[in-house]
Formats: sequence, C-alpha cells, structure tokens
Amino acid sequence: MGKDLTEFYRIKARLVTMILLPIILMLLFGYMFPSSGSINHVPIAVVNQDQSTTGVAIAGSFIYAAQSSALFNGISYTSISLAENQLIEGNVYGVVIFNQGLGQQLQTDGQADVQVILDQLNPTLDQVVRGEITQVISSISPELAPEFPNEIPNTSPSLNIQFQGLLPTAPSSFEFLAPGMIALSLIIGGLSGLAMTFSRERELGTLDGLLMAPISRISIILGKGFAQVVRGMMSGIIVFVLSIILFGVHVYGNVLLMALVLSLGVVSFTGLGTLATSFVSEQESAQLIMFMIQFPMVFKWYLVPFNSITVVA
Amino acid sequence: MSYSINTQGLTKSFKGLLAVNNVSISVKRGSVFGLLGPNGAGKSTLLRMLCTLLRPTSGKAFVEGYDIEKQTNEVRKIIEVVQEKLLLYSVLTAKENLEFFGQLYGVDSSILKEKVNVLLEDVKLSSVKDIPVGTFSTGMRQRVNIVRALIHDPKIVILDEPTNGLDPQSVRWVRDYIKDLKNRGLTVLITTHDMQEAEELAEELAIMDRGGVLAIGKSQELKAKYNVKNIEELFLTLTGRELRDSISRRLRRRGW
Repeated sequence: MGKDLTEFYRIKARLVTMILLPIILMLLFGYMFPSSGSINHVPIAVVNQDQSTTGVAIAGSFIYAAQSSALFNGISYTSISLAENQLIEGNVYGVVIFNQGLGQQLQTDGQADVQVILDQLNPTLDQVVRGEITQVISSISPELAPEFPNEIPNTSPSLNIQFQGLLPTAPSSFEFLAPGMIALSLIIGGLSGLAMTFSRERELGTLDGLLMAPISRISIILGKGFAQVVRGMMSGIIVFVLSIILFGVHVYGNVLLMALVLSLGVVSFTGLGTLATSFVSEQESAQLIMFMIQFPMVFKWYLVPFNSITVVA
Repeated sequence: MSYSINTQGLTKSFKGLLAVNNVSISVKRGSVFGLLGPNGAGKSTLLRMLCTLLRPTSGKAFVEGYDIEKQTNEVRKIIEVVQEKLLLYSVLTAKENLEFFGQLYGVDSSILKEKVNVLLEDVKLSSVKDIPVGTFSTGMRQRVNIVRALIHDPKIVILDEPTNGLDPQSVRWVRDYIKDLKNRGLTVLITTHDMQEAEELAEELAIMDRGGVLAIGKSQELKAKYNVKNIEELFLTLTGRELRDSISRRLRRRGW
C-alpha cells in the first residue's frame, strides 16, 4: 500500500486531479439540482383571456404575488399560441392561462379553472415549478372574496389548477434521460480512447514512430482525433437505436439536425480531451483528466434539463 | 569522399544540462558506423537529433546533404531508426504494422503489399504475418521492427542497441542482416554496448562520454593509437572503469 501511495503522490497530475475532482463535484451537487428554495425569477408566461374586471384583477394578482415572492417573473402574452412558442423555445418554464369566463365562473360556481402548461421534459424542474405555481395561486384564492365583495358572493372562492404538458403524451422517464444518454455515450465513447492515443503511445515509445514520419503534426492530431470522433458517434448511434427499439423513445424534431449538433459536440470534446491529455505523459494521469471531464457531465447532461435540444411540436 | 551524415559542433542542452557537447562526426555513405559510450553519454540524444525528434541547441547536422533543422521532411524520408523500444503496435499483425508504416511514409499502395511480403519473407516471418505482433517472441518482434524501418527504402538506418535482450540465434541473425544492409548500399549507424559486436560490424567507431566524442576512427587505428588489444579495452581506457549512474533529465529537474 505504501508503495502504491508513494507512486500516486509523486505524480503531480494525479494529485491535482484527485484534489480538484471532489471540489468540482461539490459545486455541481450544491448548485445544480433545483429545489423549491433555489427557484427564483423563473420566467412564466401569463395569458389572460378574461378581460372582465375580475379576470384582469386575478391575473394581475397572480403576477404580483409571483413577483413579490421573487419566485417567478410573470410575462404577459396576448395569445396562448404565442406563449406556447415561448415555452417550446425555452424562454419560459410554464404558461398560466386564465380562461375566458373565469370571472363569471367564480361568480356562479365559486370556483374556476386555471390552466397551466408545463415543459414536462425535465421532471425535476417540472415538479418544483408545479409546486410553486400551486402555492402562488393558492395564496391569491382567499383574497378574491374580500377583493370583489359585490362580484363574488361566496366566502371561499377558489381557483382549481389544471396541469397539462407541452407534449401530447406524458414522456416516460427514459424519454427524459435518453437525449442525455445519447450525448453522454457519444462523448464518453470519444473521450475514453483519448487517454490511449497520445499518453499510451508516448509510454510505449510508438509516438516516436509517428513523429519521425514525413507527415505534419496536424495530420497526426487530426487522424487520432477523428478516430475518436467516429468511436464516439458509434456509441451514440447504438444508444439512440436501442432507446427507440427497447424503450419506445419518441423522436421529436429533426434527426439530422440532432446528428449534426452531436457530431459537432463530440468533435469539440475530442479536441478538448486531446489538449488536456497532451500535457501528461502517463496513461493513468490522462485517464484521470478524462474522468474529471466526463463525470460532471453525467449529471449535467443526464439528469438536468437539456436546453440545447429543440422540441418542435 | 561523400558522407551520409555530417555533424558540425552539434550541441544539445536541457535547461543547463549538456547532453551533447560540440559533436562533429562524419559517417561515410554505405558504411557501418559504431557509436559507443557508457549509459548517459549522449548517444541517444545525438541520434534523436539526427532523426529530427529533437532540435539542436546549437551546431548543424546534415543527413545526405539535408539540414536536419530546415529540411526535416526530406531527412525523415531517408532516415529510419530501429530503437530499443519497439515501434510496433501489438494489436496489429506483422503485415498490418508494415502496411501502416508504409502508408505513413507514402509508399505507393500498388507496390506496398508486395513489398511487405518480400520483407517478411526476408526475416522468415511470412508464415506468421497475420498474427498480432503482441504474441511474438522478443526476437521475432525485433525482426519485424527492423524490416519496419526498411519499408520506405531509407538510405540511412540507425540501430539503437539492436541485439539487446535477444537470444544468440537472433543476435547472429541481426548481425548478419546488418552486414547485408551494408552490402545493399545502406548507411548503418549502430549503437551497442557489445564491444565484440562493434568490432565485428563497424568500420569506423566513435566513443562518446559526457556528451562529447573522445575518439573517432577505424577500430584498428584506434587500437594502435591507444595501444590496446581490443575495443573493450579501448572503451575502458577512454571512459574509465567507474560505474556510471545516469538518471533521466526529468528526474534531475525535480531535484533527484
């Protein structure tokens, strides 16, 4: 044990990586996952279709209550389609719709429905936003009767929330995970071989054979880099196909665009990995650096919202 | 007299550590030249400069007339090294290794396959050409390593301790092959710790120590000059009998 520890501590690249990795993980875990305490100033679209005094007042109360608590930034839109487009593009996290006849419904039934459309594609954030919207709407309900003593005779008016998702069918948890898995397997597939390409060849001495050949250094880097890109793309394609066949994942959007974006991504990460591993001479140090790059991505891409993939309804 | 290799005051230092100090040697075309020296003498550093793997700190060197600093690609096309560390990929077969290096050096694809077959036949490895070299014995791998260096028809071959770790049969084969390379008109530069090998193969010798050349010339002339019976005695006379402990420059930089 003493010998192995001595070996480990004498190689500075490994030591630095060992210290940096837990720090990075702490930062990620501490700030990455949303919780009800961490939600603030989340943009929410508000569509008020009831232009009666009551309707306008209720919508206004919602926006005021949301912004007062600093939970949401309510942005008013004149139509549902406009608001939904903003949701699709990721500019807002939900759409709150006060339907036409809301005020009338409150007067006659003492309760009215409020529609809320959520993104659904991130179950974690979805739950938190759902809870916060419910809280805000619940907070304005008791205020309605005193606010409108003549319009609303019932002493306990309430707003019932109808949640619905952007997608026609509620996605399975695997549909949420699949895009991250595809991206991650693609990148890990590309990065995992990088430690071998330069560090191992340097250790074995075969790098000299390449450097002595009458070819440019750029062609060596490009050749090795693209081999890793191909490797990564193959991993991603396998996960993509299996996701569809085994887990029934639906593909929303342009597959070719997705392939283009992912291939650009893996090229970027391959370049990053090549740069990182070129500074170390041992394979183990190179693998540690790769692990440090890959591990945080497991949580960023795999479990946290993917804002980079466009959903086209 | 035409020279394949010509160095003029070639020097290499690594952060104050003088690895090669003002070396001027000339290697005749078509000859076998022996470069001897204790561990850490600077032989490998000198060879790495000639192969364009290292840039000299000062001085000049020409390989078949090409400047090693300004005409690196031309130098790389005509020189090849058989290092102590095998330049072979263990998961590739003997044939695949040769084909890979042939492609790397721009050998025409129409003749590459035939060339590979001829070279493997030369080293009596045709029957195992489709087996990964990782499974070969040390002697077999060294034979593939040597013909790997010949795939692109270099004019100069540098052999860095080519018989190190080989059994007597393989050692004899390598020495005979080196003579054969000379007969084919190649220039061979060989480093070795085997004085008998140096005496058998090298027409001219240079003995290096502490980065500099202590003696250079034909082995008979050197023996007569220093009044010794054999090259080993010559070597020990010039370099001394003390043990040489050499650590890599990387460790030296860390204060070891």
